[in-house]
This record gives sequence, C-alpha cells and structure tokens, in this order.
Amino acid sequence: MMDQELQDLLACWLGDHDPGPVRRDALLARLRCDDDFRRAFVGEIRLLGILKAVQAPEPRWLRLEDEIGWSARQREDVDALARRVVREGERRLRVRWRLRWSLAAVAVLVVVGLYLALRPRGFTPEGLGTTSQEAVPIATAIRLEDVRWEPGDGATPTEGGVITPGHLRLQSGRLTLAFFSGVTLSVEGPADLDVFTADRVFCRHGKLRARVPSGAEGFTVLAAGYEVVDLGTEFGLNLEPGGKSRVMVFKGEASVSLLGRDGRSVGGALLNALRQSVEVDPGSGRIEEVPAQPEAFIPLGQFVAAPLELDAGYARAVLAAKPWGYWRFESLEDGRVPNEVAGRPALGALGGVELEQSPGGNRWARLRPDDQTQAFLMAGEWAPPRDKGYAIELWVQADLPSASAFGQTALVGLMAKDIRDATNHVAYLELAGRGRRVPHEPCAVRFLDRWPPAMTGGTDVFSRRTVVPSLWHHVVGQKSGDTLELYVDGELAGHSPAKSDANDAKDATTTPCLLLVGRLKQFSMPPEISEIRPFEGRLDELAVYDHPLTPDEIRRHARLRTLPTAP
Amino acid sequence: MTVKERVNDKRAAKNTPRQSANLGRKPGAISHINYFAGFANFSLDFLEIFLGEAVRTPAAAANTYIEISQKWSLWSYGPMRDRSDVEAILDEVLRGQTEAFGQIVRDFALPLRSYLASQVHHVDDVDDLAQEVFLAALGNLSTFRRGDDFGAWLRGIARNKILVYFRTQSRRSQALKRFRDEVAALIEGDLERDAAGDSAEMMERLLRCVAHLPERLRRVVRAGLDGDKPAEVAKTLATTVGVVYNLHYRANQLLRECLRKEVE
Repeated sequence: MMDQELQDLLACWLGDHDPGPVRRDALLARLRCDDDFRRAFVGEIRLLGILKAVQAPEPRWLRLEDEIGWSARQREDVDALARRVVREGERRLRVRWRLRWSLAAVAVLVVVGLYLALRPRGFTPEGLGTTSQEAVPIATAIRLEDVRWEPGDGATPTEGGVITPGHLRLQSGRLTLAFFSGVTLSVEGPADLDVFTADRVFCRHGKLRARVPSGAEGFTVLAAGYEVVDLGTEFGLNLEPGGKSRVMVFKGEASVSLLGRDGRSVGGALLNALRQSVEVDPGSGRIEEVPAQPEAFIPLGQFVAAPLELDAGYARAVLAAKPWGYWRFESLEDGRVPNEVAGRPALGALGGVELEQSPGGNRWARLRPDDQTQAFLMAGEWAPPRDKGYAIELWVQADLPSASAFGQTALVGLMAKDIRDATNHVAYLELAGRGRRVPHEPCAVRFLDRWPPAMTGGTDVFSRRTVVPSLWHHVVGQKSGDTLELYVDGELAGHSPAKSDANDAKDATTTPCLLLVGRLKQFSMPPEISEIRPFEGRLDELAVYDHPLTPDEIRRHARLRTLPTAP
Repeated sequence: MTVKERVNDKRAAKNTPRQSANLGRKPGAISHINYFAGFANFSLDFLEIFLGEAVRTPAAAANTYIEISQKWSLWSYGPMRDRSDVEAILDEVLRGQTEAFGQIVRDFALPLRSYLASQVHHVDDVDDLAQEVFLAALGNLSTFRRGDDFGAWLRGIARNKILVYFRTQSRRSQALKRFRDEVAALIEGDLERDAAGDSAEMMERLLRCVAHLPERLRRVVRAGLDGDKPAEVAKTLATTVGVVYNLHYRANQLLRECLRKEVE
C-alpha cells in the first residue's frame, strides 16, 4: 500500500495539484527529515520519467539537426559509416577476447590468493572478495603515533594520506583513520586488517576502537567467525591472533553476531549500558558476558589540528590581487575582525567564536564543535558583480564531525540583504558533508551561485572528496565569465557552466548582500540544524574579490603556505 | 520463413490500430516500443548474418546493418559508449565535424529525456528541453572538462533549463513554484545519483518488464500519472484516483523486481 504522503507528494509534483500550504509544509518537512521517504519519492519519479520517455514517440529535433548538419549529411557518407561499423565490430571482438583472457587470469589469481589467505584460518566471513573493488578513497589517516609497518604488501599511509580499500599491517604503534562516512577508527599494532569500504573492515588480529557518529550507524568490523556492528557512538575490540576476542561498548549500542559457514548470523548479543562487554569465542560458538575493563582497550586517537603557517608575503600577494574585502583574523578587538582593505567593513564575531595562534605567530578563527551560535557577519554589505564575476577565497581546516554535527557545514555565504528574505543566497561555499545522510559525495567542497537570489536552485560545482579533516586547505570559489570554478589547494577541482542568462544587461550587477561566515542562515536556531549547518574547525585569510582570480594567482596564494614551525 | 519473419508476423498481429494511433505523434515517428521490437528483429538479423543463415563479407554485413538500422530507426539510440569514445567524438566536433555530435545525441537522448521526464510533465516540453540541452551543450562544448562524466554534465545543464522552464510558467501559482523548487533542491542529490546509473540497456530491460505486467497494471503504466491521466484511467477502470496511484506504485515495485532479476 502506498504511503498517503507519498501519493500526495507525487500528485503535487506530477499533477499541479495544490494540497494547500499546511500540507505542503508537512510534505516538505517529511522530505527533509525522512531519508527513506525521500528515496522512495525519487525512486518513483525516476521510474515514471523513464517509462514516460521510453514509451513516448521519438522526437524530431529540427533545430538541432540544422545546427549540426546531421540529418542532411547522415545518408551521404554511408560507405564511411559502413567502414566504421566494421572497424567497431572488429575492435569489440578484440576487446572481448582480451577481456575474457584477462578475466580468466584475474579469476585464477583471486582463487589462488583467497586459498592462500584462508587456508590457515579456516572460515572467513563474506566480504573478503570485496578487496578487489575500485580503489576509491574511503578514509584519511589523520594520526600516526609511533607506527611501524609490517614489511610486505600492505599500504603504508602517512599522516594526511588517503586510504583506499586494501590491506593494513602494523607491527606496533597506533593509526587513526577518519572515514568519509564520518567514522573514526583507531588501530593499535600488532594488527592485521583489510579495509573494504567506509563502513566495513575485516580484522585478523589487533586492537581497535571506533567512534561512529549519528548518520554513520552500521559500521561493521568483521572477524573470522563473527562480526561487530556499531549501532551508534563508540566501541572497542581486542582480537587475539588465536580468534578469541573481547568487545566493549563505551557509549551507545553495538551488536555482536556469530556467523555460520555461509556467513549468516547463528547467534548474537546486543551490547549497551546494561551489558557493556563480552568475550567472543567463534571456535566454540560462545558469546559470554564479562566484567567491563575499559583500561584493557585502546583509546581513540586524539585529533591534532595542524597549524597554518603562511609566508610573510601572503598578505601582500592577496592585496596585490585587489580584493574587495580581506580579513586576516589576526585580531579580534571589540568582537571585530578588521578589514585589510581601507574603508571596507569589518567582520563582527557572533557567539563564542575565538582566535587561535600557531607557534609561528599566525592567527585564525576557531569555531568549536557543538556551538551553533558561532559565526562572523560582515558589518556592511557588498554587491558582487555578475558580468565580470567574483571570487571568494579562504583557508579552511575542518574538524572530525562532532556528535551533533550536520553533514554539510557552511563556510561563507552571500545573502541578499533584504531583511524579509535574509536567507536568499547569491553565493555559498560549504563542505559538502561527511556521513551517509547527505546526498553529496563526502568530504567535497561545494560552491553555489544563485541568481536571482533564492532559497533553492542555482548552479553548483563540487570538488571530488579532497578535503581531509585535520589538514588545512586553500579554497577558492569563483564565477569567471560564464563558468563557475572551484579551486582546492591551488588546483581546479571542478567547474560548471553558469546560468545561461547571466549575461543579460539587467543581471550585470547583483544586489547588496550580507556576508556570513560559519553558518548557513543568519536567524535559524536549533533544532533546525540543517538551516544552520555550523562549521566546526578553523578558518583563515578570507578574501572576496569583485573579479575572478587567475589560475596563476590562485596557485601562487596556495603555495605561500610554509612548513609548520616547531613549538 | 526466417526467424525474423516469424517474429515480424507475431508483432504485426499484436499491433492493434489503437496502439499505433496512440504511439504516433509525428509523421514517420517510431515509438520506443517499436524501436525495441525493432531491436529484437535487428538482433535476429545479425544472428542470421553471423551464425550461418547468410554468409557475407564484412562490407556486406555492414551494409545490412545500415539497411536494417534505417529500417528500424535503430540509429535513434545507440549503446552507451566508453568515456574515451565520447571524448573522441567531442574532439571531432570541436575540430569542426559538428555532425559527429549526432552520435552524442543518439547515445544520451534517452537517459536525458528520462531525467527531464522525471521532473517535467508534458512529453512535448520534455523533448523541447532536451533539444535545448543538446544545443547548449554543443555551444559550450569547450568548457566540458575531459575526464568528467558527460552525462552528468548534460544533466547539470538540464537542471538549469528545468529551473528556467518552471520559473517562466505562468499557469502555476507562486506558492506551487516555490514548493516545486524546494522539493527539487531536496531531491537533487538522490536524483542525480540514481540517474547516473541509467543506461539505454536498462531502459530496454524495463520495456521487456512492462510487457510482463498484468494487463490492469500495464494499462496504468502506459497511461502514466501526469496531469489528468490518473482521473482518466480511474474512469476507464471504474475505480478511484487513489487506487490508480496504488496500482502504479505496485507496478513500479514489480518492474524494479523484474529489473533486478534481469540483471541477476
């Protein structure tokens, strides 16, 4: 039976049926909060769209045909087409032949590899085969404490390095990973594990501690004969080489399941405040409650923020690029960060925002976790031009997500100043999210250009998953002519065509805008966390320009970071 | 009688005048249903060519391919190409061979129209917007970044076109436009992620699945849920609009299940 609200939403979407303001608000609220509902709706309209397209008659696109001279010449070159068809057929045969032999070779290697890996350990749960999946980044190594790697085939990431699915073998020391799903995992050697995905790890032996924020529930540690699934917050696992292990939940819940030979659960236990710790012996098929011994488990690796040190010529380089406004965050007198460009407005500090200082003397703004009141608001207004374009530049270092963090976090927004529509954005930079609740690729930067100002719509440009928590990144979002560009660490990370009517004479300028840093909307309050999207981390050297920067300027600015000074 | 002729006979017997009337919008146009029926015949032709019923030279085989393709309008939608193939075609277009863009249109038209049709009701508007998207893509081809997903780039242009389309529609109330904008923004990520997996092959499978639906569900699916369609179908089936929505919902569940089985 179809959900009545789903039916109403479909009727509204497809049939111009207006259910009235109250019902509309209720539907929007559910769409925002209920991921399953949203996905169900998308599934329905997508299937309806496909059905409509495939069942409709083939269109004749006369303008397009005229433009490309397609239909007129299509029949003239039949011989060439024939040759191409033959070549294509031959090419495909060759590719298939090679593919078959390659697959056969890979299959043999996989079988041999699996046999060698499994033979001394007996049963291994399903999932082992996933090691061969595409090497997409799934985590970053945020801290290495006295780590010594086992020699061999395992990965040996450095601090700040990206982790792809694969094998990790530690002789000693402690490694802490920040997964793009939001999960933090510490591993202490000696340890041997395979990282399959952002929420699935296979452990042969070692000590593990995982913190799983809201939205990333389901993080699973597999071991020979059992698995531990986190249902939220924090657990530890000590797995001896012999197979016995201890699992303890420090906060929240986790489930432990013994697995049969086919990988299915044959018994289990729920760990929570009432039953905190168990010993798992897959050999005898037993899970026994044991007294909690938190000291026997490793602590979670503490996040250490790297300092930002900049060359003495950085400010000169920025000023040479003629910014409209430039805030260095070197002082916070009377709650104001001065503008380095004479006559331009300061940034007013809101909430408990404060400055921090590096050993080398550079200062930056610190926005702490779990405080949604923090932000900076420009004490004036600015109308970024559209015909020439504009740019927003800053340095950013994101924290690991706190328990209350929303997936997306706001960096800088420009909003039409009209007080009645104070949340109508003209431009917006944000980190596109960590965790599975957000639809965008995790740890990416998003730059949005929206004209005319509105609450929704506009043109987005996303980077790939390039923002590593704990590291400083140089970010520039700009409109350059008809293109929106996003630069991360001096390199073009993404671009999109700007809205096609942007060059109309009436759109040469925009409207006076407020500049808000560290939160999405000025007046939204908890629990509307999605409208606040509080930034947690550090920001520095914010500059806005009434013209786009050149790629050389951006690269030069990004390279003016110097190595941290020893404390 | 060849295998193809036998299949043709069966198809002709099933194609009632009413179906043909419903499907024919422009003179000479062929529906995708017929296209896929054509695809089946086309495959049979190739079986005949390559599996022994007709032994031919490669050139003759190619000519037959063209002949059959023209007959069944198979050039309408080709299989999705590799990214490198797409980029090779784009290079050709940028070198001035604009007619090569026709290959891109053939490859991406159906997924793009499906994407647009998930957000725009009237098929005519969907097709107009699709043409606009291809024209904009052609005009801005130099800004497409190599290595990116061309389909995603097209959908990005399509999003802008859809936005403008709804903003310029006078028959909708401001409140409804705002509501639509907000819904579109909320689902944008999910829709983009799902659409990235669409392919002409999947749509071909979907049509096969539609053919396996029970008659009542198939009628609902053929009609769609746009505008007044649910009310019309409800009247035809002597039931309520709510039931029509539920029938379509059930049909969609069966179609997804069928697609999964086809893949497995």
